[in-house]
Amino acid sequence: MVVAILITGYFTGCKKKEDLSTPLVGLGGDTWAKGPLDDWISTNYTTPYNMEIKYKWDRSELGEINKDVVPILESKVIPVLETIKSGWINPYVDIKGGDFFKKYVQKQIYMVGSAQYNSNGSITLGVAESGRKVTLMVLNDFQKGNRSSVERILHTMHHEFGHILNQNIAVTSDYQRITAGSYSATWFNIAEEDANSMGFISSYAMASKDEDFVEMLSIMLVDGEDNFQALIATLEPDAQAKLLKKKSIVISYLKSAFGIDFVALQNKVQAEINTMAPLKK
Amino acid sequence: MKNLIYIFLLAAVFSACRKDDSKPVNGTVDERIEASMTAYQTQLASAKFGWKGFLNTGSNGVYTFLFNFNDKNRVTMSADYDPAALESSYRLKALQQPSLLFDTYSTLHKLQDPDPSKFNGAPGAGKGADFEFRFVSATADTIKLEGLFNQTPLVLVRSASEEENKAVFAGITRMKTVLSNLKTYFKRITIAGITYEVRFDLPTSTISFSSYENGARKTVTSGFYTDGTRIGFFKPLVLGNTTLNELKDINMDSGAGIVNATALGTKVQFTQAIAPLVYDKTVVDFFLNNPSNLGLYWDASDGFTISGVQDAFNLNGSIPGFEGLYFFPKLNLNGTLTQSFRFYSAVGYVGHILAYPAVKIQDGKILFNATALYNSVTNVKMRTAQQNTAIVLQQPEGFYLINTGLQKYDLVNVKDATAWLSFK
Repeated sequence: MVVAILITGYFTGCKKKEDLSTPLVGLGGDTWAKGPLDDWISTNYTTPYNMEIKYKWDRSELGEINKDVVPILESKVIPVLETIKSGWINPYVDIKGGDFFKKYVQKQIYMVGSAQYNSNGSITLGVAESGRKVTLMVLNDFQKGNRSSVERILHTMHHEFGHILNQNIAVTSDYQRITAGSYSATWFNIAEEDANSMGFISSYAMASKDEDFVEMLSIMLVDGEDNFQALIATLEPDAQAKLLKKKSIVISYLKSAFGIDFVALQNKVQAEINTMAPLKK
Repeated sequence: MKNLIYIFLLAAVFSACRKDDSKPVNGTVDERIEASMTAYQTQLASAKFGWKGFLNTGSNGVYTFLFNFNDKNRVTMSADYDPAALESSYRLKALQQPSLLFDTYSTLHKLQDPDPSKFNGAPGAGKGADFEFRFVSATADTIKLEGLFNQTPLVLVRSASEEENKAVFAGITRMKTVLSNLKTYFKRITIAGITYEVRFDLPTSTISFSSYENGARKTVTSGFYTDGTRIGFFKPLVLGNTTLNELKDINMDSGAGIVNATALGTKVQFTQAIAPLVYDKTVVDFFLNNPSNLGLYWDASDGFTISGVQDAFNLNGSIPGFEGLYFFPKLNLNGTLTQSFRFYSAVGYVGHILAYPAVKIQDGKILFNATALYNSVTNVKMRTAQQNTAIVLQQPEGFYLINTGLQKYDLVNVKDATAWLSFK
């Protein structure tokens, strides 16, 4: 009998009914009265590409929260986003279609006004996190129509998007064997010209095989074929051969992995840049 | 024994399920935070003429703003350094406490811009200001906040009228003029029966009150802001049994060297004084024996201040690339220990004033037998500036030495306390 009571007691005794209808206060993240800027972002980025564009200050979005960094000037938001749309989104969407782009695109862009000053004397101009988020910095200095401003922003976007592509389908391993012994953690001590003469397109490309690949891709897209050829012409035959080999792997990679015609993509990007910021003759 | 176990188990079954449905009387933490943020938001947006804002960066001084918040997360702002009204965004957010964030770039952010080309701040540090603040306290007309990054205090005072807004920036200049009416190094004020030695530092907007209790010096210091004819203290000054938050009705008196004010409803006066309240005669000895720079010299980077005019003899303008007037307290001159004031520019040594024979210490005061040897300087402008400096140093009454902080000393003339050099 006692055992029976115990058993029923255990199974029936403790029935708590919790009220789950209580609303949670403060759920749903940041809220503010939406303005025309928010509508523009919604129309041009969030709705078509499912991207979050964060331009309001949120220190927790920064990798290093103890650095003095300031937010973006509102008047810079649309010019930067228009540039990115023309020079990065549109070429991919034109060539490969919206579905491809939506599948791979980094979902968040965080916009910051100033650079981040580091204790080693360098400054950080942008950060990307695992193919999900790109933090663009120094945007308060952005000038629409200024060639170097436009190229810098687009370089960052193409660079980070290159990482995503490469993380989804890795480039063939013959790429990393081209300059296998020259990768260096202290790439920032090496001048651009020295990096070039070792068969790298930039000093940052020396950081690792992955950076090498995306630097190659993004610089060729943003600087264009003419500048690439001009760079090649200044180099010794050995460095020339290395860079040309890297180039051919990038081209065949895009074709075989994603069916993208690199030359067509490059021409699109160049056409957009030339429209936005014509070279001063 | 077995029965006992059953009894325990039964007891456990019947007592285990205690439902506790009690809820906090004041609502949950989230609800309370939400309520306080709504209250702050309403208060900010409700000020018809906006708010006057005073931000204290400490060593980079106090900056004055006009803010006008609306209920759509927009704020219009102007500042003493940038009076054009510009709009940007703000929002309230519960970080660890209810906080006010100026969340897109504005006039305020210039102070904190890490790029020195923007507002001449330090690289990667700006001017040590803030643009994210936590609420510290709020009354109907005053909201006190504190920066989350550099802990700079921000005081918001509700503006009463459009006229008040128009006058706020001009009021700062006026206040500086009024206070610089006190031309002597030593200044005094008597509040509630106690006389204090007062020191202003106008570039950093700092005020300090010193009093003596049984011979021991007691000093209270605070940054201050100018709001019309009133100065408010960022940190209330605790003076004896009274706490002073502000001084009101600050005006020049018709008499020379007097400034009137109201403290806690009582009329008070700042007056000039030519001697310190209590003079510490031991300071001079330490000063002569412990020069702070390489153990060799003291650096008076600006030359003499005379009657409140900084660098009165224009050393900076007369000596190309002027770097400092250095005082060497222990100069070995042909075997005799003596003292020398030496002028330095970017190219090096450019003349000196020798105290020879050595300085005389008299009653804790220092007397320079300044034998000026600036004759070697041929440039007339440079020589005049050095001569003028020497003439003051030659005053037979000598100088007080006042310790103003760690490795900081002021040399003040005894004759009338209107000429001083600041050494560090």
